[in-house]
Amino acid sequence: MATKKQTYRESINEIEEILASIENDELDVDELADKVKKVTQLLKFCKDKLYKTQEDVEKVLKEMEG
Amino acid sequence: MDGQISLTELNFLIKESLDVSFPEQLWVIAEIGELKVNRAGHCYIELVEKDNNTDKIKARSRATIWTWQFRFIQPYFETTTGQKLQAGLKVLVAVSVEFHEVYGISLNIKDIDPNYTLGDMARKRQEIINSLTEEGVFDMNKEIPLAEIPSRIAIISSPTAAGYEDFMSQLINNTEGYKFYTKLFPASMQGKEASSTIINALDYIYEYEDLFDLVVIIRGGGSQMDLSCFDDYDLALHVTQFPLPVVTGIGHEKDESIVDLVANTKLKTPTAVAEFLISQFNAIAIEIAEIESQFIDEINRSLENEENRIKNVLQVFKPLIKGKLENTDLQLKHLAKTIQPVSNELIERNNYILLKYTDHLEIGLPILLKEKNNELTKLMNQTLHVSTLKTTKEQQLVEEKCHQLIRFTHRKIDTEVNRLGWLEKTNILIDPKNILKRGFSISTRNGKVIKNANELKNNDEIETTFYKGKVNSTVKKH
Repeated sequence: MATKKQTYRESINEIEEILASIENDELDVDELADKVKKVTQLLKFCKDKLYKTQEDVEKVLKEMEG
Repeated sequence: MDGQISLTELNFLIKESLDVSFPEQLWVIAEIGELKVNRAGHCYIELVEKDNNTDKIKARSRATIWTWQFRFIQPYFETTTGQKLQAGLKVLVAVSVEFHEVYGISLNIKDIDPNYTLGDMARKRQEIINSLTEEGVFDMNKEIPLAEIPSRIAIISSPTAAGYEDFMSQLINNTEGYKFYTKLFPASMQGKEASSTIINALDYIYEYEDLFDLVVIIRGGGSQMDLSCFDDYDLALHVTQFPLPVVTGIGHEKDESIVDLVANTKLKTPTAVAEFLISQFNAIAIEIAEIESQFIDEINRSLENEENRIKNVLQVFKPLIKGKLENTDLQLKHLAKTIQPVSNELIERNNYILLKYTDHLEIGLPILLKEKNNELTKLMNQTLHVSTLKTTKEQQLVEEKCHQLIRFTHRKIDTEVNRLGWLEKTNILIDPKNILKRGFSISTRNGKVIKNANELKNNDEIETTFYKGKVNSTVKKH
């Protein structure tokens, strides 16, 4: 549970870090493409936490019923 | 037999003396030990008084509320206290002491003062709160941070409760499509066993602590009464000590229960709990959406910046190049300008040098010429002197020839002079002026000399020139 919480927050924090570096013009245009890719992945991860079924959780809860 | 009475007589005596001793009703404080309502609607209660420290029963008495009174007393008590009239409550009752020769002593309850029970409940409640606070556990569950994405939910409820169904349908059918995982841990949500079954459920969840983000305790749809189980000290203590945040939706309309007070988050109804969880997801969804749009904005801004940078470079570059070209042009012009006077000067200097040479030549040449002339004259004189002697004869011949030539020439000239004189005379005769002088005139039409009168028509304008003067005339033909 702890890692799950951290991972969402970590993702958001990482996005914020990247954002800040873009804001402060610390990023090269060359690096920008990589960062866009990275943030897109992070955003997807965060959204999946809200909307996507996590198979492992579902499995464990089902096993409890038995 | 004197001094002997029948039981009936005795009971009548007891009854008589009780009536004398307790002529009016009395307000009595007691605890309800037992309570039963029979089919006729009469309420039979066992009133007790316990020792505060040992909990041992110090006094006991039967009591009755007749149906016609119970019909009013019960609802008034329950609506006022929010409590079901039941065993375990402390009550202040108005009683008359009754004695029946067959059934013995009994208290007839005429009224119950609900305010006393309320006060007593509040006092007990406060005692529990005080002890939880003194033990330093009251806020413990509140201090556990709620998971940012509370998706794995352990539910303590009664599987048949309407509140549980409301909660589930609200949660599963959320319009945003959020994914929740729920697991029900059944418990009795009212009555005496409620507290202990809820504690058992909590203990069970505790074993699977890592699988869940939070525990919700929900109840709803049942009676608003009988919530005293949520004021239970043991249950409240379990909640404060629980390692996962506990969210309650017990469905109180009045005061919050102690379990509500110590829970991480208290909400009024199961539906409200579902809404709360969805709102947590909404908050996260908004956070993600915000950071996403912020990110997109930043990327766009960054790209715009780069674009502007390129534009700026171009803008600076263009005039720079232009300036450079203009500069070079100016330099060239400047060079040209500086070259002109320099070259002029050069030319002038050369001219001057040339002039000087010319002067030199002008002065030098005549001298040179004179010298040469002198030389030549000398040479000529020498030659003449030598040749004079040799040419005397030939000279005489030449002189003769000369005379002859002169004579021929004179003759030729005379002839030509005569010829010229004749030519002159003829010329004078031919000149129209001289002809006009002699009385002739010349007529012209449109500047053309008229040689034939037939050329003229009537009314033609003609000009006639005389030796002196001109006239214009109109032709009249007959």
